[in-house]
Amino acid sequence: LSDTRELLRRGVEGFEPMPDAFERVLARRDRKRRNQRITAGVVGIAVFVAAVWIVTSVGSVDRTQTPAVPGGAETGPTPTPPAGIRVPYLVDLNTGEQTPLPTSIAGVGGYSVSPDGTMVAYVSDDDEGAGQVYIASLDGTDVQQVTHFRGSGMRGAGLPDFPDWSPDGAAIAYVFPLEDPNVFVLDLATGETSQVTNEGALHPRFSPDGTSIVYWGTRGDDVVVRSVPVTGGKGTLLVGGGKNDVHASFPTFSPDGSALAVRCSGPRLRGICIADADGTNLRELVSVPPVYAPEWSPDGTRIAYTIWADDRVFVVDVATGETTFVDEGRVDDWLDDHTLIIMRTE
Amino acid sequence: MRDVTLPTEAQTAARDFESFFLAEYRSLCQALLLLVGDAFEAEEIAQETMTRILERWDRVGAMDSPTGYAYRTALNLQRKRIRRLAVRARHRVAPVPVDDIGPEAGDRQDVRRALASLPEGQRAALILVDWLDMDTEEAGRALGIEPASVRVRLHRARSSLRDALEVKP
Repeated sequence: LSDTRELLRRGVEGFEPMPDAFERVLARRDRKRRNQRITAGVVGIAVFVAAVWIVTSVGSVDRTQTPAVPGGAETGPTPTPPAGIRVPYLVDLNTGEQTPLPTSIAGVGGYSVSPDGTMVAYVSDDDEGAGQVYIASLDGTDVQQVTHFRGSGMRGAGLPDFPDWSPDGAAIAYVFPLEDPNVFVLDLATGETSQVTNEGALHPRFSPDGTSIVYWGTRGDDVVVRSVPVTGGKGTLLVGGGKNDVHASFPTFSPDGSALAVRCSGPRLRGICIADADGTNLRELVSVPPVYAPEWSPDGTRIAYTIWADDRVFVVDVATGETTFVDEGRVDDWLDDHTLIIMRTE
Repeated sequence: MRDVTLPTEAQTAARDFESFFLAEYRSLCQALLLLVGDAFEAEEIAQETMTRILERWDRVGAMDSPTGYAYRTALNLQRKRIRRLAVRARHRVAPVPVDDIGPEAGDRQDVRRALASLPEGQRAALILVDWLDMDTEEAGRALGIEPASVRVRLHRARSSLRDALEVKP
């Protein structure tokens, strides 16, 4: 048996699973859920249309009447999106008011608010069904597609994601492609794109002074947060790995640049952790199940996050650690100190 | 907006699945690599297996052996993959070659080639018992056959593998 085991061991030598395999499983589960809901919605709409058509046909005795045509002028109110699709909403933390973003800028997620609060960058499907990064005014006008990638990735999700505005509003960072992701920065004025990382990177976030970008990736078996100059170069390890005995991901700077929030997972720390900007002094802010990207409020007093297991959004007070449930969905960004952009499922 | 206490059950379930994933994923990938001989396909099946388990974690997590369930699911997915490849072969669409480079690539490829030459049932029995340390009862449950049949397959697989690699018993 030991001989056979040794032979088999040679067969797997050098093989390492993808370091972000866990996150990929979560994303795959979400894609399946979304597709199931879309299918259910489409079937429901088809049944509804068929029922209306049958009733119209049977009930009408006047054969000279023009039949109702889906999409025609006499089909009644504007159709709502199929059930089960994620729709971006503005959620006011003070009043609880929920306002959908205009349909012209209803993308699939990744919303990032521009520094002046008037625009958003987000990911949406283009005419051929490929995900692209768009920017637009919050009122739904001035929609511009700013990436133009073609084809789908090996796993069907290979296009750009995680857009983030630079602090001066002149550039957008994003990752591409998701199978072998790296950070790119797009100059919005010139349309020029530069590659910033060269070692596998996800979820880029500019530092408040705009000189560097933090992101997460891997280091051996560890998930770590690194920083890289915005002009490119080798990443500097900030949090994670042997440095803190913790896996760290989804970094984001506090607005004043003095601290870093990360998702942390390890024997001592689990949930959302805070570190000084250089990655030192890592401590647990709140112990919660695995979360998606924490996002710091513009005034720096709170952090919004999503529990991935059941898609529920919370806000935690940075000073007290007190958590408050906000809504069901997935939080993408803060519009201002009391308004979140949340992808809600309808 | 309303204040709530974080749900203990949801926390526990989420943590349990993540712990299960961290404990089992690597072994599952390795076993599948030995089974299918292609790293990309192996991880694709492992990803789908874990996704299905996550979707049913409230039920799977309460089982006596979530690990056994994982391997049963993976083996079922592998069988479906073989059927899919058979269809693809009939349509004469060649699979995309996967580069395997590095100092031990020759050695590694020899083992994978030898494994690929075994009948699927023998290969699965060998991996479940000799690589994953399952006993023949567990392996039989995963494969849907009697433990005695597992032992027969195992014996033949070990002999064939040694012959293919010219290893003396």
